[in-house]
Amino acid sequence: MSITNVVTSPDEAGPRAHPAPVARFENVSVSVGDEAKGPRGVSFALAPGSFHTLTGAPGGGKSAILRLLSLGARPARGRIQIFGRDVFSLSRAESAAMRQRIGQVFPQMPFLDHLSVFDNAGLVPRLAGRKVDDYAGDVCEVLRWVGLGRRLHDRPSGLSAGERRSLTIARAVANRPEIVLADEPTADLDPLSARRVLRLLAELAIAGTTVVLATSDDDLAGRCGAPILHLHEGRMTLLEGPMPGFLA
Amino acid sequence: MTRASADRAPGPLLAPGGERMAPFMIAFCLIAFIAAALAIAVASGGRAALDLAGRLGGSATVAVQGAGLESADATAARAAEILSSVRGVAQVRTLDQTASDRLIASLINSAAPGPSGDVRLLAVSFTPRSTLSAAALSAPLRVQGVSAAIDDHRLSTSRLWRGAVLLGLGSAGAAIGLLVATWLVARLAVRRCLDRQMSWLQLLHALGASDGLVICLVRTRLAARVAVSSAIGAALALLAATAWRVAGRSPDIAWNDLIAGPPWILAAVMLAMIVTSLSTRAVLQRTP
Repeated sequence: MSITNVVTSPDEAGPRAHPAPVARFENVSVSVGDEAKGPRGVSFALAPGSFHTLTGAPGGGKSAILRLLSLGARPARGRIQIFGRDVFSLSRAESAAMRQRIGQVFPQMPFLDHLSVFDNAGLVPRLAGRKVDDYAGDVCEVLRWVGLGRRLHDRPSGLSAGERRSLTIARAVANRPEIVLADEPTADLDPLSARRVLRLLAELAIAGTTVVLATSDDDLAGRCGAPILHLHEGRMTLLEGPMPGFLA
Repeated sequence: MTRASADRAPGPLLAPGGERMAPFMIAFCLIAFIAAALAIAVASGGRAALDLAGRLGGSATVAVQGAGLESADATAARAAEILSSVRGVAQVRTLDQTASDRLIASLINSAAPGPSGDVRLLAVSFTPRSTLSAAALSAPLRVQGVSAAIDDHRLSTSRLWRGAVLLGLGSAGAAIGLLVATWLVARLAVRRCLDRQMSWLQLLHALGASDGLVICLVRTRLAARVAVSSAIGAALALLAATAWRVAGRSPDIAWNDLIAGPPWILAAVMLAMIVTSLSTRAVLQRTP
């Protein structure tokens, strides 16, 4: 494993590199509680269909990077382009529409417990204004894919931790997003469920979706065999991939 | 399975209940009760005052007294004849002693009418565009040697008009106060609703809900609550006014005065919708 000071460019991003990155960070700094620990001067680009793991110590800014990628925060400094648009130039309506193209597998994101598993998984297409007749097939297919095909009418509160994580993935991908961001998607899961979640993310990447997986687990990052964006004391470096892993 | 899922409508995005809005609903109900009761009172009071002012405005009351050998009735008949010939007078009606006694008693606020003695009253009606005054009526009477006290009702009608204007201003002030109270309660209710639903709001925002959709959901929820509680408050005011009228405690309330109450519901709902839109937008503006 080699360490470079220059982070990934579109051409280095992965096996399916593309000249037009879906996301590009240029000298981005984030203002967090302890500014010295927050990411600063971060530059990288994500090619369409690439898979990256984002590693670093807990509290090192991984979640902050994901929030920036999901348009959930604005950088203190620097420039971010998502789908070729500078995030500062987006209107609120454009930001909302863009968020519908970004799947978020954030375990801390709640479900609407008064809605069924099907309705929760279909939230993004519903918010995008699609009719239930239009998206029901996609949602059912995604729920079957994540192993919840028989739980459509159950409430999320009745699911196990692993099933809830699977539902998070289903909700994130039901609208066929171009980027999927996963923040510690295997945390608190038993090994079997964790393996299942990683397999689902890998399948997404193989299907052409850009995936960023943030984890504090270096072993897990190594097992992925994908380029690693490593945050250390606010600086980001690229640990080259690909290596043999489950993506290979 | 797909068909079955697609056949049923998705559940509501905003969870039913959960905001604990009962205190706010009671407040909206109370405000609506006061507003509707006030509207009914103003409608009936205003209508009664304007009716009376209209009746008094085109008429005068003349009091004559028998003098010397001429009886009060004879003087009244002579005065009526004189006044009938005055240009602008449509009709002169001589009140008999009983009617005179009753009217005098009402004018001096006496419960039991006393004998008016040799005083007789004449009710003079003017033609529609007549501008006759007490002076114009007294002149021909004086010429004919009839001593009379004339009230052309100008003082009474001006007092009634002033009272009606004051009633209007007072009720407008009260309505503004009630609107401000509704605004404040609605603002607090929206804050409570958004505080309770903050994780819901953040989730929908993160998943790509537009500001307009979130505002619409919160606004619809609050408007429905305000409509229900205001309708209850206005209905209670209507029932109270009806009971008041049926019991004979306030015969001035006409049945059509009761329709003055319900429009408050619409005003409260509209105001709540505006407050909800502004407050929710302000909260959403804090998100990126």
